[in-house]
Amino acid sequence: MVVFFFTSVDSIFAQGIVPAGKEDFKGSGYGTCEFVELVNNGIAFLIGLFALLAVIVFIYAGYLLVSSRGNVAVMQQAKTLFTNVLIGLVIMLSAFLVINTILGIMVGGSSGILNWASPPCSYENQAGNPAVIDISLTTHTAEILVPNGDGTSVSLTSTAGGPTGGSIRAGACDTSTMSTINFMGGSVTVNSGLVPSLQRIDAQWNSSGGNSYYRVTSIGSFSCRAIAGSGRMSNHSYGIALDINSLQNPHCPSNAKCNGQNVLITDMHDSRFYDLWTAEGWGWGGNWNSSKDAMHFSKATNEGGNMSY
Amino acid sequence: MNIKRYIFVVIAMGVLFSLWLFLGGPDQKQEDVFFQELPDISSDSDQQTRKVIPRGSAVNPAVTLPFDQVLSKEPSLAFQSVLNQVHDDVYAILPCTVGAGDTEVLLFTAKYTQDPSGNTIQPARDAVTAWEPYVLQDIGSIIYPDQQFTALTSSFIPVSGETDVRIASVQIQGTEYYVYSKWTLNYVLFGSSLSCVEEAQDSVFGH
Repeated sequence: MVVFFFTSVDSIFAQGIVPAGKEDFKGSGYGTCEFVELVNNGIAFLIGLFALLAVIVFIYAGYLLVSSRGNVAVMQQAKTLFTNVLIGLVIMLSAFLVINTILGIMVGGSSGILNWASPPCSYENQAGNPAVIDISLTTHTAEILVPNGDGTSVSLTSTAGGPTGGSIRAGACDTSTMSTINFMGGSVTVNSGLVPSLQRIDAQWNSSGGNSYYRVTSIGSFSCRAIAGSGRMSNHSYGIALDINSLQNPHCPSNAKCNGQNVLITDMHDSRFYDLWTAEGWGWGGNWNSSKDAMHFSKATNEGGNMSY
Repeated sequence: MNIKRYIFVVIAMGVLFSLWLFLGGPDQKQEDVFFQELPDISSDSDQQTRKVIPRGSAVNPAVTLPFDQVLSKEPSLAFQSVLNQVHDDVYAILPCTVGAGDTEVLLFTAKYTQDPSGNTIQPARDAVTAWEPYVLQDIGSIIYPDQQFTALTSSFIPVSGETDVRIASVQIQGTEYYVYSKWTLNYVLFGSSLSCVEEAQDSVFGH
């Protein structure tokens, strides 16, 4: 119980009971995902709190028992305390286990404690995004719009991928929308509409010293795949997300390096490196709340970027 | 009596709070960022570390030694060519949980090479191809922990239906040992089965 309390409370306070949601990102808000996460955090917190109270009462009852000095009334009081708290705990944990099991089966068959509600807010493709429905890796074409300066989305026919205007075409697993360019010392296949933006980032990286400023050992973008463990199409399928140095910037908490914790592990010591990206309207996975994915830069609004489906 | 009870509750809460501190409660909240550290190779522990293969080096940055230091014996000449084409401090030894036995997957990161046609990893791919017969001799004890290989592997052949996946084998005392190689981006992975390799590959990437 004690371990459960400290684990759950520590985890909750590390992330906050109220999810930060998409408020971290530009112009978004809270949705169903954040509500589920809030309920998840609330349940975990209450269970932890009740477990702590139970421990305190157990200790108190034990103290009464030891210090009763044969006083039958006091001993009886202690036993009653033990029994009542034990019954309460059993009822509480049983109810939780039943709900957890049922919801775990209903929501995709996930296992483990509270896994039915997490990872809830990965800012990945949400319902309504054709890529979520179309997981058969067949080609789907979607229009990606860049918000204007006033925050509204507009549809333009240009192929510019800059931070404040234009639109690009992107299709899941659609190689006809991709281009391969030299980038940060390597080469990468990305959505053609984002090439100008990446060229600006590359120029700034080079002018800052290139690999002596921030050593890039691996780059990847286009990959026709689902997000590992989720079945949802990755924004890499559209070529609108890049991974930089994935070994050095693991996805937490899923990577073993994170020891199950949602922590930020990165070799990007200098924030100016990811500032290059955010200034160009790319979201950085190291800024996410629900999971840390420091290798990941994305143009999609559901990942902190400035382009919406 | 009431005062005693209050004192007891306060003490109990103090004990629990101390336990929480002992478990590292507030530290984890304040220090959520872990930077990768460069390998510490300055000490005279070379002879000690040379004999120890650091499992999961990508999992624990503290043991990311230059790869040639984790080898227990002198590598083949072909492998030395490979090591010139990969980052010697950006590799991983990843556990395989889907295979039947206790095996692991080794991952190298190829260096990008500037050439007239653009950036490429072709020199690394060529070096790996030339090294294929010696793969199990050089890194077999990593893929199959504690197993020593002296024979050359059979020729690597492409795995049907898979892109950039090749397989070879060697027979020791009637037992067939397989090694799969797979390229993805500029990573090349070696494992005892395709499912091991793919599991390791998935673990490297996030969203």
